[in-house]
Amino acid sequence: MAKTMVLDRENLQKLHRYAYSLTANEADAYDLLQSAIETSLNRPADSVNKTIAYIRMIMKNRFIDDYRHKQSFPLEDIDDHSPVSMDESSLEDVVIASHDLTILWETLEPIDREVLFFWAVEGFSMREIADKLEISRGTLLSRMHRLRKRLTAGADDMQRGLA
Amino acid sequence: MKPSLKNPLKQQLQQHFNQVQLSDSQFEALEDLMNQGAAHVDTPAGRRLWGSLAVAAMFFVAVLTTFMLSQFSGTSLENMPQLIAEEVVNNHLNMKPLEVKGGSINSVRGYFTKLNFMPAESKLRALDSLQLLGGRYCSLQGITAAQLRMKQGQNLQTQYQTEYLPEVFGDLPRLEKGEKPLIVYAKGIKVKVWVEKGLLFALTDSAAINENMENE
Repeated sequence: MAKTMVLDRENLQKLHRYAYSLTANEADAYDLLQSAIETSLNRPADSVNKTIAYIRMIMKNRFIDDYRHKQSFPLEDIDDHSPVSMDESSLEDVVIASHDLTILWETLEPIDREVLFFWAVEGFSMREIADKLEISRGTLLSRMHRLRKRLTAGADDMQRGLA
Repeated sequence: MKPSLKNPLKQQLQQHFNQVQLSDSQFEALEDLMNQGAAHVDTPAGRRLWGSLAVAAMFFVAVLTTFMLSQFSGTSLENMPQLIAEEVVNNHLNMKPLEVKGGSINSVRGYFTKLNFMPAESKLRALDSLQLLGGRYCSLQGITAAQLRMKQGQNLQTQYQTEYLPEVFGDLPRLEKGEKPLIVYAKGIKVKVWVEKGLLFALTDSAAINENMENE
């Protein structure tokens, strides 16, 4: 019989950080995680990985549902056929100051924060991230191309005191 | 202000996320929540009884609890059509305002860009007499869904579409296999539930709600 998995603190922390990648706010991330765990108790999974995947899915769906009137969650606004002049490693050479990242973080689209979480914290490849987000690799790379430009331009502006 | 030190984006992101920490009290609250769920499933209720009489009572309670839990766990997905119908009917009766209006799936599809699926036309013949009015975002058993409102003569009907996840919704009739929709009643309203084109469909068949009752 499937029973409720009690996740350890490391996994709870990861889930909380994933929630933060969506909300950009720690308090909202905690509320989102707590409500997702409550919901997950109704359908116990038979492994830790399935429990984590299920809680993530609930958080994402709830975030989209709850926040759609406040913030856009664009999955379709990227031109899939736009030229992509970057590969998976193109984000690797972006450098940024901690203070600038903190300021820029809240201005990013939720999907961009989610991608950055999967890339930097979970260590997923772009292919794995595209699969997780159910978008094409081309769409994802286009998105990353714009994100790179935005991060570097935003960081440059702040370094020059323009922002 | 002196510019702060620049580091690779990945490193800065990792440091940024490392600063996001659950407090001890938050950990404890979440652990309590999960433990309650685990206890609800696993722990026989009679363990607190004491003495020789308590042993017998504990045995009885344990047997009874095991029986009830086995019944519950075996039917949780079997009950899913009923849960789906109840959720659909509750929202059908609420008649919340439409977020998008349109007379065809194609005309409203562009609005539903935040779904993990594309709303689709069903080939179910019962839908032939229904005219689409519009739709809104909703959810079904926690899964994001499209709620469509349709007109049938003077009556309004509600159709739900969401991604069909067998592990969440259980086994449901598939139209492409020639299976007929499941018919479930909730609050006296008939609801058809089926799977088609990889989507879960649910459709009310209610004669009681008309346009004058819309909360717009």
